[in-house]
Amino acid sequence: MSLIQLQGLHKTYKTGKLEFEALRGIDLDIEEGQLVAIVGPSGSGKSTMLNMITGIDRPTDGSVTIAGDRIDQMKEDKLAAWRGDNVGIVFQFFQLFPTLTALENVMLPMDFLRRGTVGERKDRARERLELVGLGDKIDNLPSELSGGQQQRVAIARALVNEPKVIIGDEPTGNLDSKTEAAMFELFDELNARGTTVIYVTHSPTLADKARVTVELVDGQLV
Amino acid sequence: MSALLKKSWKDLTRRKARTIFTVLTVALGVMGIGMFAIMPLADRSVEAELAAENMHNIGVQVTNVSLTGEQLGQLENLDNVDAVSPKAMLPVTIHMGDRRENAVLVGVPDYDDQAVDVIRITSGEAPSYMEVLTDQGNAANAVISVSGNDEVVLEDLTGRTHNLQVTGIGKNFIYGGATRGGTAVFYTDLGTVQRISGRAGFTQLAFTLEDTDPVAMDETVEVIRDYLVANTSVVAFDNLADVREEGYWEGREIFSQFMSFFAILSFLILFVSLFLISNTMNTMVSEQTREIAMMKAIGATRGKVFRSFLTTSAILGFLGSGIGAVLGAGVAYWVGSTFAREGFGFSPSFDVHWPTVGISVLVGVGVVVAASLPALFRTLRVSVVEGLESHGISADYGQSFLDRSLMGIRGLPRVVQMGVRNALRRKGRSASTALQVAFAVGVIIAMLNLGDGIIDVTIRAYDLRTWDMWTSVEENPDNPITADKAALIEGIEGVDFAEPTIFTFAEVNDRTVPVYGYVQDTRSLNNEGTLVQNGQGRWWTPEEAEAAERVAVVGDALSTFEDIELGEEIELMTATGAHKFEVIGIDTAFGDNGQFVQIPLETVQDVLQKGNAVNSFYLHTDTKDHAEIDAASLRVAEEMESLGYRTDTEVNYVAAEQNVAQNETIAGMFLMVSFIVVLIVLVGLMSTLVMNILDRTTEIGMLRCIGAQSKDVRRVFSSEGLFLAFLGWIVGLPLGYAVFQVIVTALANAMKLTLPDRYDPIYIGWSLVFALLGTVIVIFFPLRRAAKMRPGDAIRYE
Ligand SMILES: Nc1ncnc2c1ncn2[C@@H]1O[C@H](COP(=O)(O)OP(=O)(O)O)[C@@H](O)[C@H]1O
Ligand SMILES: [Mg+2]
Repeated sequence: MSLIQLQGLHKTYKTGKLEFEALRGIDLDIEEGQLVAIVGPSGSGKSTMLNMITGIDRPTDGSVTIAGDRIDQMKEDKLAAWRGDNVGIVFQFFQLFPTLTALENVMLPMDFLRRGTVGERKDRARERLELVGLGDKIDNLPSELSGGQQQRVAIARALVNEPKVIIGDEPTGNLDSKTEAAMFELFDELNARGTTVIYVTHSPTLADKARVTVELVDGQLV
Repeated sequence: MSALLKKSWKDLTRRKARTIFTVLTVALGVMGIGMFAIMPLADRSVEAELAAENMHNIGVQVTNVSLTGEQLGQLENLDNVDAVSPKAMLPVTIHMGDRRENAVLVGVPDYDDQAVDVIRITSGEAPSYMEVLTDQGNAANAVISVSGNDEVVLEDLTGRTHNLQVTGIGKNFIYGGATRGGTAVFYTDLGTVQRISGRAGFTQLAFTLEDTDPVAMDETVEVIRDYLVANTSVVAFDNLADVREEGYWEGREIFSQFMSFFAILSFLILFVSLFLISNTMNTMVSEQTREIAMMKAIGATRGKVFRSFLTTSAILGFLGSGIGAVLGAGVAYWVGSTFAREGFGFSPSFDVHWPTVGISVLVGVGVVVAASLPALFRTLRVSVVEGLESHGISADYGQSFLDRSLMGIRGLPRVVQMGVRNALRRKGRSASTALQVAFAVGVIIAMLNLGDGIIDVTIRAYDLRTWDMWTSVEENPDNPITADKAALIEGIEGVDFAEPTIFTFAEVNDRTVPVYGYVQDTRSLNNEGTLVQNGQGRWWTPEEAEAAERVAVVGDALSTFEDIELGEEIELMTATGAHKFEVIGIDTAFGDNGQFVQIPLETVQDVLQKGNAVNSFYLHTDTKDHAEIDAASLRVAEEMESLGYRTDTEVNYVAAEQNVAQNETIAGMFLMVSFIVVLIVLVGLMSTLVMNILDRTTEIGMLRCIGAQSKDVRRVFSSEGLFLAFLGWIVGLPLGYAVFQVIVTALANAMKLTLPDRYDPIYIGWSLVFALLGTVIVIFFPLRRAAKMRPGDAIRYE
């Protein structure tokens, strides 16, 4: 069975009297260990689809099954805990908590899961920050880091709980091409170690590097 | 509606809860200003009553003087005298079933021709021989309830009873006042009083004057005295002449002091609401930083932007002030009319003091606009680029020393750490919230200490009294009671010891103070601590008492207020004129608010030309048992009555309990008012948290994305709120002391009330409990809102 199964997925947004169908019947299976790029024009429903996979948002119709769990039916708090355990998310913009240092930001998902002792969490977070090349910035606040560095902290945080899936919604959209390449390298490495990676990108180069490419247009797969 | 007005209105309706909070806070503050109307309203309504009665300018009490029509005419023709009305007053007892209650009978020569201090008939008709009108206050007092068509049984001092028919209800500002003290008041004709008293004469002369200048009035008192002494049986006035200045009425001073105290508190309330207003405006502006930039980008001038926000704050101001002014006018009338009804037995018609309404609206709007100015000026400085890039989240956390020091704190759970640090992100907002809390804590601490101080002082004042009962004997020129009757009283069962004394009043520079005449070796005053140890000077010697020397021991507060020093000579204005005394002691006792004069009994007798007469006795009972004291007091009253003396006994333990209870009510009232401050502060705290939560919606979404459960989110924000409350509490501790000092000083100046300096540590703990508990309560709804946010919506929130 696939790791991720989307079946008959519909999502309708309501703003006031207006209704907008952002997803119109998505059926998609993603195997464990895949490296998936999602592409499509702006407004085609890419973020909406990712939000269904992470359980950030709920479908209007259809089902989302991940590793056998129907996450579209989970209670909000259980879902949050599940998310902390199973998925790591990286966004394009604002992600770090400005009052926490890089190390504390990375420790946070472990804190929520109350995983291990504080000392163990610290060691693990430091390890992850070293992995993304920020071993010397662990005590810096986000305001003291560049955009690329902040993004790398976010990645370190996303993978600190060793999630089965890493999800990036235009994770490099805000970075210069050199940093972008370095970031992708990280994703690639993680994927090589068995983590399923799904990312949205507008960059053809990045899209080409994926093993599977999914294209969305007007809320439908093409 | 202009576009500008429309935008402003939209800005307000967009965040309804916050707008309502702010408007309500402003309204409460402005309502407070409305309290200033109470005093002018009270003056106005009392003045109307006084005018209707043609209240006297000078009231004189004399001993049974007969005046011919000719003499009355001469009195009226005295220099500066406009009109005169004589009355005869007689103390009697009335039978209420088996009970006996004190009563007075007021004899009026002619009900159709009253010039001064008119007795007004509210129902029924004027009484003729052996008929009475019952004062409307009688009915209000359950103990002496006599209605308009009863028959009353009066008992005179010789024990004879008289049945009188009630013909109606009457009212009078001066005489009616006695009903609130539990004395029944009846109005009758002169013949009735003469028949019951067996005396043909007047006891009260009431004058209105042409020139009511204080100096002219004092001169007229002398003119009247001279005339009476020269032409009638009058030797001296029985009491100080009652000289009523323009605008003065009984109780006005205390009332006005209370009201100004309330007014001060309302300013405090308005002050607290300032924080909330400036917070609201700040947030409104920073939320719209992007919008403002957009406005500028499409060509709006700074002036336009400024005006747009100015309009918004003016709308807030007008809404709040309008509601507040209406509430204020209502409350002012309510307080004033309640007071008039309870205190003076009349109900003023609805009245609004427009100047106060106008001023309170102006102040309200002005204050709101002023409080929003800093935010307004800040918007003008934001550049277009800055504004367009703003996401409403300040990214400069970590720059300041405070941020750094807080980061040094280890060992807190992560979510608590986040909350505490988050409190420093909006420094201005947090500081003003913490200050509000500090203010509330300060006010509460001050009020609690103040209440305790008042009760303390009361209890201490009563502790100084060593006597158990104080029996005063009603003055009766035909049968004066003398000091040697003490032996007789001591013979009454239950009484161990009786000490004769005189209690009267005198004026020290225009200030009326109680004067106590004590025997030299008094056993009824424990002034060891208050005079010998903590005061200055000494008690008088047996020789000084023997020689009736003019020496006095004065209260500490009196010496302060009137600038009296030890060894100095002071002048006491008494019923027999002015007399000079050497101050030999300054006593620090709290009784009478520290404003009293103690004089050798022999000296008082000499000064007042009383021979060996006294007017009261301090009684010491055999035991301290309350029931036995009660029984003894009854026996004293009966024994004395059988000797032809009408007495009134104050039982020390009862008086102490009553006074403490009364002062507890006052202390409770202080506390109530300070709770309004607390209420506003809690609203402020709540609104700050709501604003913070809205500001950080995206962050809440992010927290949820990385596995935070709703309880984690709640803990982040509750830590922040509790931290702010804690900070406020710390600042509030010294502030409380400062507020206490300010109020005590104000009280000392306004009410001439000296309170001990105190700061009870127990309230430090209590105020923390209250601050934290209050916070926990008010943050409940904001927290629920934060925890309920769906991560999907939160992440996208702009
Ligand atoms: N919360 C929302 N309410 C209403 N419409 C939304 C909401 N979120 C997204 N949309 C709309 O749904 C469509 C798909 O959005 P999104 O999934 O963000 O697209 P993409 O990520 O492909 O750019 C867009 O037209 C967007 O305007
Ligand atoms: Mg998108």
